[in-house]
Amino acid sequence: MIQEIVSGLSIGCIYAMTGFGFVLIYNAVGAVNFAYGEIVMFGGYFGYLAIQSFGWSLGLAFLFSILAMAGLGIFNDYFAYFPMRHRPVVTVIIASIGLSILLRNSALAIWGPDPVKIKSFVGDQLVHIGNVVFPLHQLLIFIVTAFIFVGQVFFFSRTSIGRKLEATAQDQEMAKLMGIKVNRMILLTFVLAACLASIAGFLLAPLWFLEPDVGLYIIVKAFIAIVIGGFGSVYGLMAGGLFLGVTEVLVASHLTSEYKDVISFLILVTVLIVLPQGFFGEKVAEKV
Amino acid sequence: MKKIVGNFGLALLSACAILFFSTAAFARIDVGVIGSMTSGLALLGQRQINSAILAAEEWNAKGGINGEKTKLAIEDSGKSTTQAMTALDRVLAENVCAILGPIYSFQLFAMFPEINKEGVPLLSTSGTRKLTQMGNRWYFRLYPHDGITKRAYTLFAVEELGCTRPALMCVTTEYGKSGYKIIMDVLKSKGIKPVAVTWHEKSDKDMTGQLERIRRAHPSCIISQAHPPDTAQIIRQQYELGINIPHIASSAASMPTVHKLVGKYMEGVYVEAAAIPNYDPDPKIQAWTKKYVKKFRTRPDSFALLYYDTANFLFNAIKAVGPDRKKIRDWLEKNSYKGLAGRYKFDKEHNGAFFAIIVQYHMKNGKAIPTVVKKYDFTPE
Repeated sequence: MIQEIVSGLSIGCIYAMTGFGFVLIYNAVGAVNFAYGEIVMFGGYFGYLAIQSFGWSLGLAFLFSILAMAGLGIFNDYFAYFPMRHRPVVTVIIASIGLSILLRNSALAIWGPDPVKIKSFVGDQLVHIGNVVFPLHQLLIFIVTAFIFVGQVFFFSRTSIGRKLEATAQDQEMAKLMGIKVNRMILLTFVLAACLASIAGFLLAPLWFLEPDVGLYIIVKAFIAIVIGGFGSVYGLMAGGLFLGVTEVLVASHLTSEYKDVISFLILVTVLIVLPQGFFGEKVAEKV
Repeated sequence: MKKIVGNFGLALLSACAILFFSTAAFARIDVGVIGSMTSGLALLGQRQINSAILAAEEWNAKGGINGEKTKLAIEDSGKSTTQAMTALDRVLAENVCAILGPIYSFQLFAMFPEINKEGVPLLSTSGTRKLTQMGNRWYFRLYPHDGITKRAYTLFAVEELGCTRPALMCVTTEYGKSGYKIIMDVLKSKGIKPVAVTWHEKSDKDMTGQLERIRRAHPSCIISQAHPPDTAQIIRQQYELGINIPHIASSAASMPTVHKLVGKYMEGVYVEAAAIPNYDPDPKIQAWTKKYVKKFRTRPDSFALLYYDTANFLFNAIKAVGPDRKKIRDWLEKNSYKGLAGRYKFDKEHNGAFFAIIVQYHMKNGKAIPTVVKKYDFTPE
């Protein structure tokens, strides 16, 4: 059982890692960004490009990926959000779906359909604690996720930029009146989210591999985790991700492996009916 | 007057000559090729399309089929039945005499009604057993179907490895379910019941739950039936979780892509396959593999090799009877062909390949190298 919980927590951390940037964008612009799964995928692929094509070390590849992803974040803002910012939210959502298709097919054209992987920063050693065995990389996932989680909470509650972002998220007009450069804040959000996606891409690539469809898979799971935890809440996202990851593994092991995804969606539907605001409610209720 | 008649005759002769040579120059044989060129399914599809291109170019370089060049109408079947049907419609619009089809059975099933209606031969290298059990006289399979390969690797697990407590890991696609049924039938015939059966989605990224369930059942081997990415996950995680029992995997595990993902964990894994083009000592196969790699900058898999044989079998049929759909079908039903991978001869269901091999992988200098450990030939007498 402990083995399953450890693996489930690791999966949940990846869902949460994907969700961090997703929530960041949602809080800033009030619309879900369905291209975020593909953005995470590109974070990994940029690293793969630097390693395979340029022959760079893992560390340099990571830095390259962060920079390239910052560029992708700017692209996301200028092409899939900014021109649509005064239109209904559904237009922004559709634009994000369009961007998702563009990125997925671009990945297919550039890197092909074969799944690829990048090595972990900590190698492929296994950790044995009693009867529990897990790759050292999973430990790295726990640590990085915890760090990002604390960092994101701190960023929004204790820093000036974080508060400006929070103000922008709550009411853009009011933020403008307060002297906050809203467009710049939103651009910063897209860049930050893309950099977080780069970290998520590097964390998932050694375990889940990179392929053009992986973004679609993780965004669906991250979305369920976000809904379960409560839209817009970082605490909720963390709780929802871990809950979903552990549930999936336990269901596959003890109940049914064939219908484990059905169980996940049943949980999603149940939460939507019984607890529409998720475990941790929602900070900006009018954006539902 | 004589001059006028002479000039007219000369002009007529020239016109006839131009018409004759232009017809000869533009005469061609249209063959459809449908495969996944986009989405994750292109992993298998693109390699097969490459094989068809290679075969057609070789025929054209030798002067074509009976002097006529072959033109391939290549269309992308993507990852859905809708895309496959659109591809089929486009190919049929080119008035092709036969079609080299996709590997994925769910796309082939969708195509069958149209294929029957149009009366056009459709050849593919899909393994799904049910495809040839639907009484479709226009469909031909040139890959050992699951009834051959799954029988071979289940028999190998039981008879050669002495595995009497097998655990099964299957993917929930038609391929996985079809394979599961055959494995169960073979096990039943041997009086064996699996100690655990687990299922997973093709896109699943973690198999801990399934493998822990298997561990609790204390099996003596794992037989898996899955696609390339999930096969890689299963093999890697089995090793990581310390479940040290033999693993007999379906043909996906013979793909170079899977080896790159799995790395050292391929050590000792048994895999069923129809052929191993990258490691076959046969000089003809070695030469073909070299040519394929040089042209497409990717390594072929067993499906690609058999697709190449399939294309050549079809071109031989066209050479024998011309680009007539019905005559091609009848010729294929009656004749055999010796390809690179083996001999092909269709039975009443239109299954054309009955050979299978079991290989075991060992790591040498960081590479997974296969060794043939058992050959099976179930060709009907």
